[in-house]
Amino acid sequence: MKLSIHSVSIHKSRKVLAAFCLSLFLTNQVFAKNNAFEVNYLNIAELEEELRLDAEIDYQLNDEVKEALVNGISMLFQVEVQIKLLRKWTWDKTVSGITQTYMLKYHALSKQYIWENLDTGANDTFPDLGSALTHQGRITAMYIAETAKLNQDDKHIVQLRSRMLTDKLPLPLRVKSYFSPKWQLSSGWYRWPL
Amino acid sequence: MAVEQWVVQMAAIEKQVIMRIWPIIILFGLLMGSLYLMADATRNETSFAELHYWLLPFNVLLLAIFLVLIIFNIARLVTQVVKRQPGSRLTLRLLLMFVLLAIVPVGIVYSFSIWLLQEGVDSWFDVDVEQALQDSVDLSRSSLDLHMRKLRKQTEPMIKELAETKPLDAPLVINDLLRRSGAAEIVLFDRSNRIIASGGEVGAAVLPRLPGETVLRLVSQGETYVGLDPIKESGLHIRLVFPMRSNRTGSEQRMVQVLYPISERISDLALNVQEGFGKYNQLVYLRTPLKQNFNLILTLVLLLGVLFAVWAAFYSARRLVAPIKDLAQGTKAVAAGQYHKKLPVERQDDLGMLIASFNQMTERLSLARDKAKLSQRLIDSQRLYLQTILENLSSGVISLDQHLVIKTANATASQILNTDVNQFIGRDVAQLSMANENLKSFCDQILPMIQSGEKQWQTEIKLFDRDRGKMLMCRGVTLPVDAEQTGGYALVFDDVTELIRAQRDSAWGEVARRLAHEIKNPLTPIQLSAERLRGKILPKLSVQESSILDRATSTIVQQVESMKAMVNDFADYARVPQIEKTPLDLNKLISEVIELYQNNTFNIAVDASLDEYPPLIKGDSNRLRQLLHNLIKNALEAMHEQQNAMVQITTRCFEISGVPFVSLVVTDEGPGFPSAILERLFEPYVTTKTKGNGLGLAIVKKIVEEHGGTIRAENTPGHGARIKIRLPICSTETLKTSVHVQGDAA
Repeated sequence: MKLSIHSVSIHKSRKVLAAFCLSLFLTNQVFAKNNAFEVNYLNIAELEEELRLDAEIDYQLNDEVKEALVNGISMLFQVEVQIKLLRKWTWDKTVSGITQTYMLKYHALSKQYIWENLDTGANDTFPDLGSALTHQGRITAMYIAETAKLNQDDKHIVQLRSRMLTDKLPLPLRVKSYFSPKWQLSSGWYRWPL
Repeated sequence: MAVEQWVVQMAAIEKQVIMRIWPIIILFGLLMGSLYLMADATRNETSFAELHYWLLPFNVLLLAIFLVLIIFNIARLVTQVVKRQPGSRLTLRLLLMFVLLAIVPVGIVYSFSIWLLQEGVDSWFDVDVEQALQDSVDLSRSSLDLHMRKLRKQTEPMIKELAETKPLDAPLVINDLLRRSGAAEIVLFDRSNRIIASGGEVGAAVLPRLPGETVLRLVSQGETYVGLDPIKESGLHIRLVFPMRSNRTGSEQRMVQVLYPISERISDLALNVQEGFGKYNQLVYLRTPLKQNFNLILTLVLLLGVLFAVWAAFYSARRLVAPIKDLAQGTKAVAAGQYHKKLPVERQDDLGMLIASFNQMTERLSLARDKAKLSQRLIDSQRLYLQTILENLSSGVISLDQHLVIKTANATASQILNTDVNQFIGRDVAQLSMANENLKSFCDQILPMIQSGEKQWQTEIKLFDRDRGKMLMCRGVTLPVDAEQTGGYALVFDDVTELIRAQRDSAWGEVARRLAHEIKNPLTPIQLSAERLRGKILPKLSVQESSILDRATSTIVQQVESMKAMVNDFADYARVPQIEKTPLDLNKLISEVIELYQNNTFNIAVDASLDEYPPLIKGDSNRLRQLLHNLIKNALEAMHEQQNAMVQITTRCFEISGVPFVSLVVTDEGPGFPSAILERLFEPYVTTKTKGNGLGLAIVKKIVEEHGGTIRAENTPGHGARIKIRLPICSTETLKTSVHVQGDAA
């Protein structure tokens, strides 16, 4: 399990946010699973009455997925970030939920990997898969909620998950992905108190 | 037990639900719909592709439903077969046949489809096409490489020019270079990806698209990066990244990125090549998963089809067997006697007709049974009627079947034969002969008559019963043989002993009366004539002649006297009695008569053992006294040569069927009656004595009969004779009262 925080920067820190930074480590080290994707770094900062997320996700693709990618199969990845209100007697309530979907595909003629954020339209090309995945795993100042929506007296947690979307694969691969763990790539939910 | 109840309950529910057609239609529709969607979803572009995720579990659910149904049906069928329920084996046989018929062709189609998929899909991918596509990509790359080399050579002098430029002049130089080179974008940036100056614009991005880490690492090592860059909004571009070699010392390493657009014509061609190659490559890659997917769908279809076929086989077999099962149960019920059994006619086909015929049959059977019951009741009634008559007949009746086995016998038969004939019912009539000698004699006499073949016959049968002869009048009839009667014989016999005896007595009475009348009348003239002859002629004759006459006339007179006495006896016997019956104490009468014989000439004791309560009978004391005299006299005469002999007279009172009787028994110790005359002892002129006219016991019998009694004679086990007389008494109560009164008076 490799988990490290490269830098923790808290803008206009609050006591709550400062406290959670330490617990972020401990919680993840205890409960994080040995998944294909791993969250190496995460930071939540308040910027102009908004909560912003910085994160670094390590995407490790197995050979089977890589082979499909090289053979022209587009891969979709999704990052989900949720803020949940912890309640004692009932189910936790999702206060805010943000998703970002990425597409990665291989351009055979140019031998370039094309990456695109389907939500923002941002795109880029990379001569190798590693640099494309590194770029994809780097999340910077991602809006997750307005601070005004969160009651200071309540307990909240932030959870993040990144996974490969198999239901967008071509049908033959989709059926295969239902049964093969090699295609069930996910980071699992990473949770932190807010 | 609980499992059996559950099976029974489930069977009842299933009978209500499953016997209807709609579950089949729904399940079949679901099955077909699911299969259609799955087949349609294999085409990736269809709207049902999104449902594919749910189709698989849905089909698995259908599989589970069919499996549950089939397992339940199998369990039920096994239970039925084990319990040997009607129709279960036929259901099993039909099921196996249906399943075999369904599985074999489905299996063949499945195997063939799998083989066709394996071979067919591979054949779609032509090696030549693949190579041609690869070659076209290589050709495009070569063409573009040539173009890229040309552009690199063209750009390198410009980079040198830019390198000598001061940073503040860089934008101006870049704009000049853009104009001269035809590049779309030129960006000057440092190692930290910080843009120093830029010109031109590609795509919609606000900031220029800088190269990634890999390119930077390469360029920072002094290499030049040349490559194609498919930009989303602007199409294919050639990206060149040069390290900036500046002569100025101390300056940070800088890099220049130049983007050249590719002509629209070449870009379109390259795009087509890329798309074609990409799609083909994708198809080649997806070939194996596609085959696996098809196999999965086919297997699923096979499983669903087979399971549906098995379940449908269960359903069809049960539907086919249900009426047969009902018929079997109905037949079983009819065999058990439930003729009212009706089966519901739910079908209009041949089986429906069969059930309707079954119902008609049971209806007719029920009617026939009711008629038979009525007839049986009539027969029973008639039999009871006949049996009552037979039981009360004075004749004995025995019926035999054609094999001479006794079928019925009435009570009189047992009474006459002195044997319980009912014990021999169901046995051969010949076995009667084993009971005793008497019945042997009976059988010996009737069997030849039966076996003679005559339809009607009549014979007299003589039996010996306890030293007494018994005369039976027996008639035999051969019973008819037809559809209802099995033949046999009926024997009817009457005990005519008493009748014959009465006839004989009557005949003797008539003889006696005639004798008395015809003989007595001439005796007196004979006697008078003989005496007159003697008186008139005797004096006139000589002594010798008179002596002869005297002896002759004396003989005539004596014989006439003797004959008169004899005729008087006959007259007494034949005389119609003028008796006067009055109540009298028999014991007292006996005591009076015995007293006369206490000192008799034979010196024989006459002893009486009389009942404690003397019987009061209605009788003529003179006649009864004569009866006692005759009996005692006979006994004494029988024992006159014996010493210390004794005559014993006893009376005992008893009841037979509520009727009181007194038994008077006179027993002697003489030689007894000869068996030859025992039967005819009470007939006139039957005697063993040299003296006497043989009318004593005949008169005794006559007196007994005048008093409504019976008489029997027998020999005692040792030696001696016994006369038993039974006389009715007036009333026991009256008798006792009278006796007591008499006793008190005495």
